[in-house]
Amino acid sequence: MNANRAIEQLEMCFNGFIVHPDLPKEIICLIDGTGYEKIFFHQLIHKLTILSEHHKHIVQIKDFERLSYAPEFYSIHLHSNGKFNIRILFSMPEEGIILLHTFYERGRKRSTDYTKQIPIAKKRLSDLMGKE
Amino acid sequence: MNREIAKPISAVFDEFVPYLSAADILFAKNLAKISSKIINKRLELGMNQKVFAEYLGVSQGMVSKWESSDYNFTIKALTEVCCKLDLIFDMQICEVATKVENLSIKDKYSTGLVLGKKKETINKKTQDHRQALVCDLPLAG
Repeated sequence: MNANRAIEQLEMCFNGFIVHPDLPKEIICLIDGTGYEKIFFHQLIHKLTILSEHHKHIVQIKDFERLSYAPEFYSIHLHSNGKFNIRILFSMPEEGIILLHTFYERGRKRSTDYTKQIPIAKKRLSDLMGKE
Repeated sequence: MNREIAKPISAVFDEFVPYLSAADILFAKNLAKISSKIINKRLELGMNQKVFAEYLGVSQGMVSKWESSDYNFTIKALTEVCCKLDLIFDMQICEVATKVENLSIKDKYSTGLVLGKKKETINKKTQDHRQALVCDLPLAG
């Protein structure tokens, strides 16, 4: 089995997931060349598996957060001992789990960390949902 | 939903193909499924990690590792954890092509790893009979 075939197998576990078209390149731009690509992927699959199986109770689980000032959005925390600290914003409308935007988290004041990122997530959600 | 621009999750995974082998990909998937089952059991029991760790007789740090896919279980260790949690750990190692034909829709494309609750029918049996049934569960494939 080659990697592409394995990806096909993997994809079957995440049927309910939709991504914004800008997200894949955005993710790889953050992690490409760092040497942590494999660790990041491992974490990503872990978090998406947890999300797919526990989406109704996801805020009870470590590294998942509902944004109190933008409650239609949630954040996945992907981090590994100082190697990377990345967030993925997503939403969970009836249509499925929609991964929207990712960014590198550098700041420590969590309450203000998302202020520049939420408008991007909102715009992308509108793009996908066909809303103005 | 604007289907013209929406992408499937594979669009993300495809970006990682240059960095990963098939084994890397499926290992991540298997370990994630184990973590998810353990989290599921903990939530079912209504326990936080600390209480859950005491319940299992391990450290909270160990539970945290299990739940964050940061622990590469040996088969023995995983079997022991499952026994403590009243879960069955069963394995399927089979050809990819035949696997799709033989499994139920739910199990199609599974990692070849089944980690689930014991069936109700098993739970209704006596303890001795249950043990026998568990031991007799066939390997699929």
